[in-house]
Amino acid sequence: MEALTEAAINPFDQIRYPSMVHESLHPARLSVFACLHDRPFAPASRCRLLEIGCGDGMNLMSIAATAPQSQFVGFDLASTTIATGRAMAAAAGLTNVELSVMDILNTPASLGEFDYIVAHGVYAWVTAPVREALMRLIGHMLAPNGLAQISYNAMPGCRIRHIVRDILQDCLANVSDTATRLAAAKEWLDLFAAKWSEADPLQNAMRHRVQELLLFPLEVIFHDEMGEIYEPQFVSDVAADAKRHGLQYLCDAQPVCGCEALIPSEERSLLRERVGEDFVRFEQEYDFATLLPFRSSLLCRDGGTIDRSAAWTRVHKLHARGRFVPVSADESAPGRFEFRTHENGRAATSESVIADLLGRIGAAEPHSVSLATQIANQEIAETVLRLFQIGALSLQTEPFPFALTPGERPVASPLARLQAANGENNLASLRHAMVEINDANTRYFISLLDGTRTRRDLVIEMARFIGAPAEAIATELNETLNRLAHMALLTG
Amino acid sequence: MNALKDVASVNAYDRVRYPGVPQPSSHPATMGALACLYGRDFASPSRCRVLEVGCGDGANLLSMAATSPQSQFVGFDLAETAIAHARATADAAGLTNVELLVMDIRDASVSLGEFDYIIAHGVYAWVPAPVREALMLLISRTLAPSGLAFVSYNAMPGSRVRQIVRDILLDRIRCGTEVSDKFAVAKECMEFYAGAWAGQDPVRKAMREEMVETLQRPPAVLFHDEMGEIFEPQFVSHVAAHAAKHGLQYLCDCRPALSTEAFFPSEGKGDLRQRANGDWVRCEQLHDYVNLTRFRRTVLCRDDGAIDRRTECTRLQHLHAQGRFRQEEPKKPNSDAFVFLADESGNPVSTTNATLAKLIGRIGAADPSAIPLQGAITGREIGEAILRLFLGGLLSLLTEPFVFTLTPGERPLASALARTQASRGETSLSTLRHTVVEVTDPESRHFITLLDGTLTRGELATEMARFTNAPTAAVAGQLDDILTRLARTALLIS
Repeated sequence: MEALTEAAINPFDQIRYPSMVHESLHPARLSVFACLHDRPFAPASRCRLLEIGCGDGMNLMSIAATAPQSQFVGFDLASTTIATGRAMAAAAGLTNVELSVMDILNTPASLGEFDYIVAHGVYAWVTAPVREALMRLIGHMLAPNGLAQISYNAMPGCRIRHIVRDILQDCLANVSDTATRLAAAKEWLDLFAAKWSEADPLQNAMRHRVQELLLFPLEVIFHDEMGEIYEPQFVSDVAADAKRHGLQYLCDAQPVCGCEALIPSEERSLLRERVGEDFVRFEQEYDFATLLPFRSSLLCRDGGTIDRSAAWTRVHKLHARGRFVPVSADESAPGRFEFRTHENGRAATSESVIADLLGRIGAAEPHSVSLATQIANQEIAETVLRLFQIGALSLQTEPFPFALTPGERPVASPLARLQAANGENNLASLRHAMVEINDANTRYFISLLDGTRTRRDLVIEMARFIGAPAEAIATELNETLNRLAHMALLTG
Repeated sequence: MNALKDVASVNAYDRVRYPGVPQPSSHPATMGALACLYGRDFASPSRCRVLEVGCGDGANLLSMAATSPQSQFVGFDLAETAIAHARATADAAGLTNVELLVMDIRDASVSLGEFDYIIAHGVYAWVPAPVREALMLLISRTLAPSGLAFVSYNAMPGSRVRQIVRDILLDRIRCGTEVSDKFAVAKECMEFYAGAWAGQDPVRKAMREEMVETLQRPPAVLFHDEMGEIFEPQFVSHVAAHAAKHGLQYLCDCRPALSTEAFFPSEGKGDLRQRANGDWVRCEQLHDYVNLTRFRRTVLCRDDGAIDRRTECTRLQHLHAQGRFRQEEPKKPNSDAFVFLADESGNPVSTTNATLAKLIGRIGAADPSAIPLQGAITGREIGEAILRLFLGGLLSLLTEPFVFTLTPGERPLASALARTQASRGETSLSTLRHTVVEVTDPESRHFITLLDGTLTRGELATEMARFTNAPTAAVAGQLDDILTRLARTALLIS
């Protein structure tokens, strides 16, 4: 207990975990899975959400900025990150966020009841008693219709990642200074990645893993693979632990593996035959078959069985967003409707009804389209779910509150404004996503959008800031505002 | 201690017999050769004392005992049925130089005496930490001053992939209790996942390879290894540190290839050596990180000063070499290269050094016997070439030649152990080179049982004619051939 509350030795105080927003953790996105399984859920715009191990609270604040009527509570053991978060929340005027320094082992019941509880990157990086306390806390505090999300490195796939940890722990055993550790970790990983042979299957797998790892900021490795505790979990064990606390396993929050029950794939039919009706068993066998390294498990109260049948009308309650740019008729095959999708992907259909729907979704982007009246039959519903599964389309239970047509006195999200003023490159958008603004002039511009300045005022101030003629700025103004609006940074 | 008795009463090895096989690299003549190459003393394999910890059914120990009648062999195991089996075999084969005991490693004491060679194969990574500690303590207390200990274990971090196999198997067999059911379930499960891991994903591809390899192992081996109660793969650096705590030190691995960097430091591994900063064990650990080694057979010796790991070719003079080399005509006419085809795989080996070619030719001609290298290593080039053939697995080095005959006499005599095995209908017979030869047809096995030195060739032909219902003349005509074949597999004594 002393050790845990001893902030001075908390590694998260020494090296800040790179703050980021996790799109999938937004209640409007988490509740999609409740909706698809015909479970009741609280509306994202009026809910209470708790984040356990919230770090500097960036994820929480980003959600809070999209839902001013909802209440957000977050706690973490690292006092410096909580102090940073509090200062930001105050500066951004986010009055619906409460951040505190607290130990999972020592959480007062007075926190109240929550419709959503999220714990990202906690469960597999704490000791067994803390895991137990976390599950107990969820069991105590989750509202009857509540939804909890726990992410963790998954067994047995993560035994491969464990090799990286084995190597780094050993090679860095005598390096205590954190900055030196990071540099040395990179050096060792580069060294081994270069030595591992492509011809040897395991060495090749390790090469890939390390190359993948090196794409992330090194701080992520520091806390994940190199953290003091690293105990990847079996999904079946997590479900069993949840059960002991009056909770049950719903599904995974990652669309790629969260839709298997709803739209059973051909590829997994053998697996389904092996496990019969037990869905947790299916998930475990799925992890054996895919060696999935990461899980984001959704839990709900253990009240009654979950209806995993694919009742397609449930899709009616959802909103869909996605990039679908029609390819001109002469470019696509006759009788086919083709679209360019995210990340230069392509989607094609010969069904004009589906083509119409995708066209409408594409036209509304970045806004979402309500599916209430758009889905006429099961085939269309399944197409939407498949697009969701492969990441071409996102689903949410409510639209996000941002404006595409900025007014005379444009207003940006206060959180993004603050981040821009602080010189950060990654800003939290009102769709609860990260957008990258690398140019200092644009960042300064965003910081000015507090609703007090007219477009004319903005032109004059930017002309002064850049040292350019006002006319030149004025001609670009609409375009810049439009661009920021499409990034979901503006409220009006 | 009570817990221990409980364990003994339901010992998994009593329920499912571990199919023991001779471990060629654990033979004193082979282990000693490595010690010799590293400039260490070693006891003569023909007059030494050997202890095998966890000897199971004695497959390894009895086979070694049969090769060295003047040496003393002691083996113990926790599994009573395995020891009973080993004793029965030893008695039947008249191996009077073997003592077998049912004992827990934690109860073993110095009263066992001092040993020149101690072998613990498949023990260290399959027992709990206190037993690992007891094993290392036992080695340190009973190893002779120039003794060598062989400790094998699954190696980290490469064995994490084996743990994945274990995760899946344990998950599947949690419900079943019947041993035979478990085998069937495990096999089905492994085949299913080997199939499920299709495609190009690098991790799944690596696991597919691992699973396919695992499927080739006998179910009983899998039952005790991956499916065993305890499965704790070890880092070589931890094993070495553990040994150091008990006054022992890491010498080398039994797989010759793992000594390559010691004798011929490569350019490519220079950075690893530099990082290891002269610490050889550290170097080996870094190699395991690169190679992701799954299994190690570590040789330990007493910690009596630093080991001289320089390549010293004169050390080869004390050894004997054995290898299959068949000289070929060079592909290009008028070439000054001598080309040999080595081992069963027919790997070509070529040299332009006539002296070396002559030596390799002599080794090939003597095969399966070994020839002494005394006087044959006339220069560094020859020595390094022989060393490289050894590291490449194309040539065996021994401190003493194995004793068997290639020219059986009028009353042929086969190894008593092989005769016992053949009479029991076993298909894997122990040779006098401490290897295994598969004899699957009942006629050959019956023939071997007859070779006790009492029957003349004529009597053998008569008996085999009776046994096979073939004309005596036909059998007699084949007799020399068959005897020569058996002799070449090192089953016969002069």
